[in-house]
Amino acid sequence: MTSPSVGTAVRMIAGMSLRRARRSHTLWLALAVAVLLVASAVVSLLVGGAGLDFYDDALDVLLRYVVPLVMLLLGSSAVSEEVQAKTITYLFSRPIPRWSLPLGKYVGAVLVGLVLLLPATALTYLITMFGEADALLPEATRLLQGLFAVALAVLFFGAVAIAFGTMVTGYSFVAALFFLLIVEVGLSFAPGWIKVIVMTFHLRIVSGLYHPAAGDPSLPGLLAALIVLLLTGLWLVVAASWVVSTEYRTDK
Amino acid sequence: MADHLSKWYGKVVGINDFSVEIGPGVTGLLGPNGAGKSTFIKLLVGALRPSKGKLEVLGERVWGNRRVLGRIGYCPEHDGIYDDLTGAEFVAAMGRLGGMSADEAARRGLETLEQLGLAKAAGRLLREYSKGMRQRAKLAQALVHDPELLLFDEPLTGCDPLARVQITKMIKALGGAGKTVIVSSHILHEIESMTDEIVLLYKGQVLAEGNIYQIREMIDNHPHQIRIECDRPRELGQRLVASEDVRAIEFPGEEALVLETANPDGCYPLIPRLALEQGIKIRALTSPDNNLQAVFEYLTRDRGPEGVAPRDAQGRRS
Repeated sequence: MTSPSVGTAVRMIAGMSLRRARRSHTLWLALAVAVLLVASAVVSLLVGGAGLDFYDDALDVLLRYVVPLVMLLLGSSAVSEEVQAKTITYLFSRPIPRWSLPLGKYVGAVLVGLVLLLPATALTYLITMFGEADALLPEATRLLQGLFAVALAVLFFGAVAIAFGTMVTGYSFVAALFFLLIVEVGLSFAPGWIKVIVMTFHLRIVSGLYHPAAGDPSLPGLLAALIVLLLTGLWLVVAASWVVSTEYRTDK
Repeated sequence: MADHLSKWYGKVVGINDFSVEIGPGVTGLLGPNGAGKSTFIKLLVGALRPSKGKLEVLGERVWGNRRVLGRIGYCPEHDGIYDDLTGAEFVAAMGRLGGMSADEAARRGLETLEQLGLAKAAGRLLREYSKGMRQRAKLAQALVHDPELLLFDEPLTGCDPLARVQITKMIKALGGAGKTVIVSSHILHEIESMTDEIVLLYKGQVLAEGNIYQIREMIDNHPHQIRIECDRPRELGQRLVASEDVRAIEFPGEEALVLETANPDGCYPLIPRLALEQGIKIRALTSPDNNLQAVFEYLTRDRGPEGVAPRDAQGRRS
């Protein structure tokens, strides 16, 4: 019997992960967070506070808080739940590379994240621009920039969530949340160039939300996007390396 | 083949200085809970890495070795399973991850489920399965890709009597077909019903290995018990105790005696002869040693803190 291709292994693991996610509370929580964003746009429209400014604020909240939260919900338990449910034994006794587990989980979490958050972003834009039909198309590049930044954020925070899920099999959500609060929230208020280690800083540049004042650091959008992708890759390598070298005990 | 294999979980010993070679056919791993059976099987399937010593499965090291893993089927002892999949989906998915094409995995999955009596339940979600059905689904996923080496950790757990018979037959047939099947259990008659080839484990070490009858020979220097049910046990006991073959006599009831002997071959003709001379009626003559339980009890008794006998010149433990 030959070993399955990595693509098959990743696809199968992502598929099984999605089946499991369908019944989990985390998927519904993530959906609720996305819906809340759209609902806030509707409320804003009804009270007359919508418009591009609201969209910018909503996108800022999305990149800083909503995407990280949703991706932590979707990804941080993806590997640890295999350990806790002991189903990891079926996967690791098959002729697949061990690192296909976090990769499959990552693909599953990212797909769900994109399906939830890209439409939520687009809907928020459309709702907030409802009264400004003339500006809808001229300002569409802002929507595209926003969508791109959200997609990058999904990729990055998904990787962080998966890495924490592989390294911390209990309370992985809490551990990842703690890490993001310190780095992504805490350091985002730091002065000067310290900000460059904060991924939301780069994501805000990509989305067009970042307008540096004098003395503030600034990077081209493309470079910021590349940094986010590089860090995404690094987190995935951390997750893969951890899984390859770790014995996951299921007899506790 | 395990050569001086050890596995520690921090300070806790899983298995210690474990050497064994297992060939084709069915081999039973027998030992009480905590003996190291599951640890050994997890090492065999590459779920754990040895702390010390050498382990080769199908001639190669197993940790992270995809080539070997593709030739192994493993049924774990735990009840964890993909509850959100149907039986057919679960077994087919494991077949796919075992290297089969989608069509082949689906077809073989259904065939395997049918062999295990789950054809009608194949379309139902695993969460709706009873414990015995889940156990059979776990076995099916181990068999779906037709592996050369099968590792079944407590395979009869939770099964009803009919399923037990079915699974026992299947395991024997697999062994008969030339597969290497390793079955663990802490229940003696389960192993006895599947094979005569056993490895006895105790406190993470191999206590004895080989054919059950060979093991019986190895313990001949241990006292052998014979229970005699008769009408005047004390009278018979007085005559028997005079024989140099009889080490000790107990009277567990008004109409029974149990003797211990190091020479059962000498005692079995002596008992009816003495009974006949005294006119004592013997109703039953049984030896608790004729089952695996007695062998196990002998071997695990009086072993000191390590619980393990020294090896003989052939490297076997006696």
